[in-house]
Amino acid sequence: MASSFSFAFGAVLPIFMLVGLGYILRRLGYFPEAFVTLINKFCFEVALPALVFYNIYTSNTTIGQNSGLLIFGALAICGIAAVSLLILPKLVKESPRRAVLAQNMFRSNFILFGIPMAANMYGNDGVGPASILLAISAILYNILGTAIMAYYQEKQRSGKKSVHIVPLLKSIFKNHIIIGAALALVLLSLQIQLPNFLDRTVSDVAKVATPMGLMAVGAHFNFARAKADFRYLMIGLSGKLLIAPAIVMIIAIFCGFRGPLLGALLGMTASPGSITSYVVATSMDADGDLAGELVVFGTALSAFTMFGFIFLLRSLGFL
Amino acid sequence: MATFSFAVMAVLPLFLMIFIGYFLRVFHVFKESFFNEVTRFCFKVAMPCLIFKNIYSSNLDVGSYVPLVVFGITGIISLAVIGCLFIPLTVKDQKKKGVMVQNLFRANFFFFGIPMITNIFGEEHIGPAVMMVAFVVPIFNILGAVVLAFFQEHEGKKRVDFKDILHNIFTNPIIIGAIIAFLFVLLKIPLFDFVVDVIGDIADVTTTIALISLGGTFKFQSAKHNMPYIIRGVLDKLFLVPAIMLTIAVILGFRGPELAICLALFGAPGAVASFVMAKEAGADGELAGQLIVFTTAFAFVSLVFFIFILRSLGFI
Repeated sequence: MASSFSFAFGAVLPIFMLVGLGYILRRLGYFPEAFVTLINKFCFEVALPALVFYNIYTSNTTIGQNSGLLIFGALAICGIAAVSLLILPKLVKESPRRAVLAQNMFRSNFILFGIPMAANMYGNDGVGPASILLAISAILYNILGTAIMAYYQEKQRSGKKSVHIVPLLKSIFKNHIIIGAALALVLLSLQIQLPNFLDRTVSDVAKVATPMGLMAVGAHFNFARAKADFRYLMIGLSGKLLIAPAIVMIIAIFCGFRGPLLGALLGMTASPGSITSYVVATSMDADGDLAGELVVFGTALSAFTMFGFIFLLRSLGFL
Repeated sequence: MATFSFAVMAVLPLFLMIFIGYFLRVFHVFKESFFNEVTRFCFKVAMPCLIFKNIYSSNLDVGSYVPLVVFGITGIISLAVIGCLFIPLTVKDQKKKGVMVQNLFRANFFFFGIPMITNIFGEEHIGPAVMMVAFVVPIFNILGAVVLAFFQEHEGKKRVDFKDILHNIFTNPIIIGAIIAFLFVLLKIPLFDFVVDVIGDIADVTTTIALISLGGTFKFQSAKHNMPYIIRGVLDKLFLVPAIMLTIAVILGFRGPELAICLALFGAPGAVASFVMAKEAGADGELAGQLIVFTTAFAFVSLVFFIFILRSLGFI
């Protein structure tokens, strides 16, 4: 049990160090505002597409016996997204914030939290199911996330209540992250292997996304603004870290998921938001500050909430 | 064929990164100012992290690399001296002399050496290369300043201000990173794992963004009037110098990663710092900039060529 607590902190600390470093560098003058904006743009247009491509491309999903887990995971993500799209408009008025909160609900930092958590609990037995979910979640996160952002962006741009489907689709398919995901799926399904040097180049570019994005969040971070966003942070964080995973866990247990499979689903739903949410929100005219705050505070709190879920489910004998 | 593809694989990833940066600017995704900012970030934050991480975590036995360090430093100084003696015989334009000499001995060891050695030997062998950076960077800076001052035009000639040079060296973030890391290693100061991890996260990003931003600042302006100097500079720097220096290195018995370090030291293209320094010294900054672009572009050919030969002969 102690190991799952120290694991949670082990996952949180490096993220915090990078955010803190960004904050300090900004104060020391190494990260001017304009540069942070451009770093975000670089992550959005170049590094994140490479990362999404690489994650999907290198995931060796052998669906076979785990199709139940795959289907349940996909439905869970879509379900959370749908429910939050229905409920959030009642709680939040502004489009840019709705978009951010909706994305926050279903999008998790599966790679930095979910997978290590599964590995920590079950070793290789846990990593297997978790990585099956990784591929489908990477695809759904990006398609749903981009679609929601593009929808609200179009809505704001046109100033009308309804959104035309053509410009919406255009903006989704012009998105580099979507292109990266699609390309990876094509290569995977045709079983085309990238030559070694391209593989390396893509993975090197992909590696840039997370540290630079986290430092950008830190550089942009502003305590006064976070205080002003308190209400939205409460809605977003309680929904993301407690309510959504609790509901998914209950349904999953009823459906008969136990052990490593349940652990994989917990890793997928209970992990905090990832830096991608921030970059996408900032680049697509949503409330990027709020998205950044959700990542920062969500990451900090997740050390406790994830530990709580593991503790509870273990005591009940499900994990 | 296997040897040839080995040589191509060692350098192709570097040039792909440079291309990515170049295309991002040419297609107006990013302006040049962005790449300048990234370069500044690399220099002030990322590169010191890379240096620190590698010196701190590599358990280097510095003593066993003394011959390599001595060879490297003597080699660079000899090139500078030979250049100062022979370049003026053929180059008559006073403003170009210092630039041409600097081109001979000053290399972009950091950007090319480290990724190239990683590609050939894997991550675990870059420790000695990183250590070399700590010795080579001050030498490049001192010699660059001295050589440019030596060829400065007589009117308004400034004397070399050694206090200034020393100040520049000890405020150079790369050197500071190296010194701090050596202190941590020598005094055996323990660090929390997560601190090392975070420094490592940034270190992992360094060469990628450094090469991308290098490509992003490249411009192939018309270089016609400087063409004779450029051709000469490219041939000297990329073929003549490495051919001579590598022959000596092989005779002296350097092999494997150490020989690859020699290749990076004497065969890598020009560094951006040469351009900055030449401009400040009132030398022909335009030529210095063109030499960097052209040596970098052609380094793909020369580096593949030398790696191919060294590999075929079984030296690396």
